[in-house]
Amino acid sequence: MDSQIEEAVSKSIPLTERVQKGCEDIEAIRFSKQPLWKERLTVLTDETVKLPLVKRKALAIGKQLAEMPVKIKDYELIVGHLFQCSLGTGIPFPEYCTAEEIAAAGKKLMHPGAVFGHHCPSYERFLKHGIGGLRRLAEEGLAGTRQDGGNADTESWYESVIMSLDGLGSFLLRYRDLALQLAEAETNPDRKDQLLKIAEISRHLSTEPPRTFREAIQAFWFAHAAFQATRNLLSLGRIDQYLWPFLEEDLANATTTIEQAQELIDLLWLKFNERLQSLELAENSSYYVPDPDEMAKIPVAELSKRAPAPWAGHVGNWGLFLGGNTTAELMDWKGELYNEWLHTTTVGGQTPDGKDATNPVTYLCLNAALRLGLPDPELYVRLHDDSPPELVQRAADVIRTGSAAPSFYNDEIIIPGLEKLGLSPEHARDYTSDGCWEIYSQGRTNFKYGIISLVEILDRALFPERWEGDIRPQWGDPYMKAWDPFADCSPPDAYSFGSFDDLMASFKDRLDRIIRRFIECIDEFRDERLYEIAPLPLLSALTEGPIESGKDLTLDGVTHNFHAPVFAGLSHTADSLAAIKKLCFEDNTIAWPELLDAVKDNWQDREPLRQLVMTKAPAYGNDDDYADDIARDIVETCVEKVRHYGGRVKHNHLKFPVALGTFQSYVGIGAVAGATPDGRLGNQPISSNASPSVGRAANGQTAALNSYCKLPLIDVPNGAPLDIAMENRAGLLKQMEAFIMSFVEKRGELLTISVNDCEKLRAAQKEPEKYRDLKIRIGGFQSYFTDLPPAMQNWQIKKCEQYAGT
Amino acid sequence: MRAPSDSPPKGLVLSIDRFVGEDGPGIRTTVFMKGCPLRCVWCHSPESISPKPQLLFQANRCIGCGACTGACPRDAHIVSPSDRRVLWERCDDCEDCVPVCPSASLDMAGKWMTVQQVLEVVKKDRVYYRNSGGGVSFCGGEATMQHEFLLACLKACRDAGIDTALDTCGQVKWSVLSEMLPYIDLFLYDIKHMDSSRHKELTGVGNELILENLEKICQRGKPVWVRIPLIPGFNDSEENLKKTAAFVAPLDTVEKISLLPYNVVSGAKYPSIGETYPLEQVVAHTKDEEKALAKMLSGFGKKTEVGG
Repeated sequence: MDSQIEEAVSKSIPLTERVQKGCEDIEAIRFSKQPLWKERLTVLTDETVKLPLVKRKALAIGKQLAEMPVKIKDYELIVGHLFQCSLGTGIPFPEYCTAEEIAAAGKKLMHPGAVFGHHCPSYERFLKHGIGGLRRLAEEGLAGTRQDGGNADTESWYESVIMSLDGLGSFLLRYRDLALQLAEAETNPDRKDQLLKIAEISRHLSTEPPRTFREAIQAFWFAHAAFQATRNLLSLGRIDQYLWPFLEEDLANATTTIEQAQELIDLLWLKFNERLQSLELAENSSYYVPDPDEMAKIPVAELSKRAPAPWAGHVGNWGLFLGGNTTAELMDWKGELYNEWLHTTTVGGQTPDGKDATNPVTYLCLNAALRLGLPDPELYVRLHDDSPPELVQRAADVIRTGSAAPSFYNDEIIIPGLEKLGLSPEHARDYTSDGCWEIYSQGRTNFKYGIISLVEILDRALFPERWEGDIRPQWGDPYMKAWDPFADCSPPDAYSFGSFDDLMASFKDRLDRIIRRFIECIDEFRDERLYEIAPLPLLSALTEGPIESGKDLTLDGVTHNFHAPVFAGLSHTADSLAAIKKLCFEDNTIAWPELLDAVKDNWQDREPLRQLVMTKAPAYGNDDDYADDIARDIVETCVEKVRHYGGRVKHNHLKFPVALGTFQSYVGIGAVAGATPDGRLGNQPISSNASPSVGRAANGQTAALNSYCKLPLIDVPNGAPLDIAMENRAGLLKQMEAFIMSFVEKRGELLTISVNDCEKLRAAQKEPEKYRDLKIRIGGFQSYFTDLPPAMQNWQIKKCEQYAGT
Repeated sequence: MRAPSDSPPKGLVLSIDRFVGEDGPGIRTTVFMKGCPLRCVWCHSPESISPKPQLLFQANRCIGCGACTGACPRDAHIVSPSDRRVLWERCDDCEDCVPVCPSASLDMAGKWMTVQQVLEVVKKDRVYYRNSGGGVSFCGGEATMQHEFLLACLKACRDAGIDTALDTCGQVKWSVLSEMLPYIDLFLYDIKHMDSSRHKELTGVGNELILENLEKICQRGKPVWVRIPLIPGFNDSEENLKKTAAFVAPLDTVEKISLLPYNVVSGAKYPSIGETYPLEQVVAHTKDEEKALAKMLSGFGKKTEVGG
C-alpha cells in the first residue's frame, strides 16, 4: 500500500490528452454565454392535483430529470451534464403546488423553493446500496408501515421516495440511450468502445451499486448532478473516504492503475466547473452587494429595518433569510458571480474508528486541484497530530500555486468539540464541511443556521434609540410579532454607565435576549411548515435515517439536527469593548460621553478621536491578552447562553453548535451596521469570520493565529474560520507548511489561507481582463477576484495589505 | 531620548517583526536594534543608524489635526492645509509631540526595552520556530553596537531553547564577537565590497576588520550565510563580485551566498527623519540579471541564490 500512496503522492503524473481537452472546454465555457435551459414545466393535471403534495414533488423531480438536457462530450468518460441555470433565471423547477398551497405557505413564510442547501447526503450509503438497494429499503419501510396498521401520510412519503429513486434511475437510462446513440454514429473504434462502456455503466447503475472505482465516481456524479438540478445544492462530503474502497479493490485486482485513477478524478473535477458563468452575464445579474458609500446616506434607524432578524433564516428555510425573498431568487444570488454551488469536499482526517484516514484518493484530489487550478470543488483538508507531513506539503503546494484552497480543519479540536455536543466518537470523527465551512457529521445531519450580529447587539446596548420602531419584515408578520426580544424591557441608557462592567452587563443582557429568542423560535416553530410545501424525498432517500424512521429530512428524520447560531462581527465587538475599557474607563484618555457622541455621529468631525482609538487601543489579533481576553469573554458568553437556553428546549433532539462567522456576507452585514467604537465607520464591511479586523492586526500572521487560538474553540464546534493572507515570497512553501502544522499543534479549528500579491490585486482591479484567473477566498469558498463587486475587491486588497508589512 | 540608568539593562529596539521569512531559515522573529558603525550610502533604514531614539514623521498618516503644534516646545511643526512639515533643525527628539499625535503619524524610532520584554515577544512564536526550523534574528542597524544587551538577549534565547541568528556588518571588535559566539547559531554576514578604499568611500570604514572577523567566525566552526547587497553601479561589478566569491570559497562553514537585490524603495524612510536619500537615481537589476549573477558566483563553489 505504501508504494501506491507514494505513486499517488507524486504529482508528476502527466495530464492525459482527454483531460487537456476538457481543460480547454472548461476555459471556453467560462468566457462564453451558455444556453440556459428554462423550460417551465408542470406536473399538475386534474388527476395529479389530487395527490398528496409530497408525491407531486416526487413527480416534479422525475419530470425535471426526464426533461433537462443531457449531453456527452467527446472527451468524457464520466458523464452527466450539469444543469445549466441561474444568472437571474433561478433554478426552474416543474410546478407541483397549487396557487392556494403557495399562498397558504406564504402566510407561514414558506415557499416551494424554500429548500435548504448545505446538506451532505450519505454517498457511502448510496454507493453501498445503489438505486435499487435504496428502493428496496423504502419498499420495506412501506410494507412495514402497512403491516403496522398503515398511516396514509407515511405511506405517501415512502411512495414519493420510491418515485424519486425511479426518476433518478430513468435519468441514468437517458445517458445509456444517448451513449448508445452516439456509439452508433461513432467512426473511431476506440471512442465507440468507450461510449458502449458508458452505456453499460449507466445501465448497471440505474439499478445496481457500483463495482469499480470508475463506476463509483460515475454513480456519485449522477446523484450529485441530479441533486443540483432539483434544487438541492449539496456538499460532497468526504469523497476520498467513500471512493477509496473501490480503488483499493481495483488496485488489488490490477484493473485500474493510479494513472487511470488520477485521470478519472481529473475528469470528475472538470465536471464541477462546467457551469462557470461568463462575466458579461455576471455584470447584468441581480446579485446585490450594498455599496458602503450609498448605505452611508441612509439613516441608521432606517438601515436596521433592512437587516433580517437573526433567527429568521433559521426557523425553516432560506426563503425567510432575506426577509421573505423566495429561495428561487436566492439561488440566483448564490449562483451568479461566485460560481459557487456549495460543491465542497473534505479529505484526510480520521476514520470513524480513529485511524488516520489519508489514502491515495486524498492525494489524487489534491493533485487535481493543483494541476487543474479550477475553483470547484472547494477543498477542505482535515489534519490531526498524526497526519502525514506529505499531506500538509501537498496542500500547501496547492495554495501556493495561486489558489485560495484548500482550507484546514483540525480534528484535534473539532472531534472533542462534537463529542462535547453529544455526538458519538464515530459520528464526530466522520465530520465534513457542509457545502460552506460549517461542520457536522456527514450523511446523517439536518442542518440550518442563522446569523447573529454581535456588532448589532453592541449597538443595541449603546444606542437603543436607533432601534426604536425596529419593525423588520419578519417582525411585522403576525406569526413573528410576539417574538420581539426587547418587548418587556426598558432600553439602557449608555450615558449613565459608570464603569466598563455596567457596559458589559448591558451588552450581555442584549445578547442573552437575542440568543434566548433565537432558540425559542426554533423550538416553537418546529412543525411541518416546510414539509407541507417543500419536502425532500430524493435527498431523504440518500441520507442516513429518513427511510429507517419513515420521516422526511425536513421532519428531522435523521440522527442529528443541527441549528447553528453563527455569531458575526467578533473582532469589531471585541476591539470596541477593549477601546472603551482602556481609553474611557482605565486611562481616561477619552471621556465616555464624548466617545458615545462620536460613534453616534459616525465619527463626523472627530477624525482625531477616531485615529486615537485605532492607534492607542488594543485590538484582537495582535497576540495581546488585553483584547484577546475580551474576545474570549464574548465567545464564552455566547457559548454559555446557547448551552443554557438550548438545554431547555421542548424538542430535545435539537442541537445548537455555535459558530463564529460571516460567510461572504461581511460586506452586507457591515453595510447595515452603524459606526462602532473601534473606529470603524458606519456601513463599512466588518471583518470576515473569526478573523481580526482588517487594518488592526499589526503583528503578523503568527500573532493573529495566537490570538485566535485563545478563543474557546472546542465550544464552537460548528466552525470559526481564521482567514489569513500571505504574500508570496521566497521560502513561503516551507513556512506555510510550518504555519499549518503549528495551527494543528496550537489547537486552532479552521484555517483558510490566501496567497496573494497585493500589487497584483490592485492591478487586477484596474485591468480585470488580464487577471481573470486570479482566485480569492470569500467566506466559505473561492471566487475569481475580477468577478467580485468593487466593495468586496477593496476589502480583499485591505486584507492583503495588512499582512504585507507595508 | 532619556537613556535608562537603572537596571535591568535596556536596549534600544527599533521594532520586532514576526512571521518574517528572511533573515535565516524557517519562520523567524526579527529584532531590529538601533545604532550602526557604518554609513552605507544605499542604507534603506536610515532611522536605524543613530544610537539614540529619534522622531519619525510618517506624512501619509498625518490627518492635519495640529495637536503637535501645541505640544512642541520648539515650534518645530508646521501644520496648515497647504503645508505640513517638521522643521528638523528645531527638533531635538524630545518626544513631546508623540503622545498627542492621534494617528501615530509622529512616533519615536527606537524604544528602550528590557531583555525580558524582548524575550516576551520572541517566545510567543516558539511553536512556529520549532515546526519550521526558525528562530530569532537580531538585525539593525548593527546589533553588536549594543553588545551587552545583545549578549543578554542571546543568552536568554539559549535558555529558552530558541535558535538565534545575528545579522551583522562585521565591523565589531573580535573580543566582543567572540564572547557572544557560543550563543549564535547562524551568522548572516554582509560583504559590501572587497576593495578596502572603495569600501571606505561607500560605508565610511575599510573592510579589513570585517573580512578578518569573517575568517575567524568560520574558523570557530560557526555556520554563515554571506550576504551581498547588490547596489547597481557601486559594488555589482563582475570583478568585485567574483573577488567576493573567491574570498568566501575556502571558508568551510559558509553555507551559501545570498545576493540581496537593490531595494527600490530604499529612499522611502529618509523624509521621515528629515534627510535626503543620496541614491535616488539607482535602477535595480532585472530578475534575469540577478539570476545570471548568482549563476556566475555559484561557479566559485558556494551555493549562491537571490534573496534570503
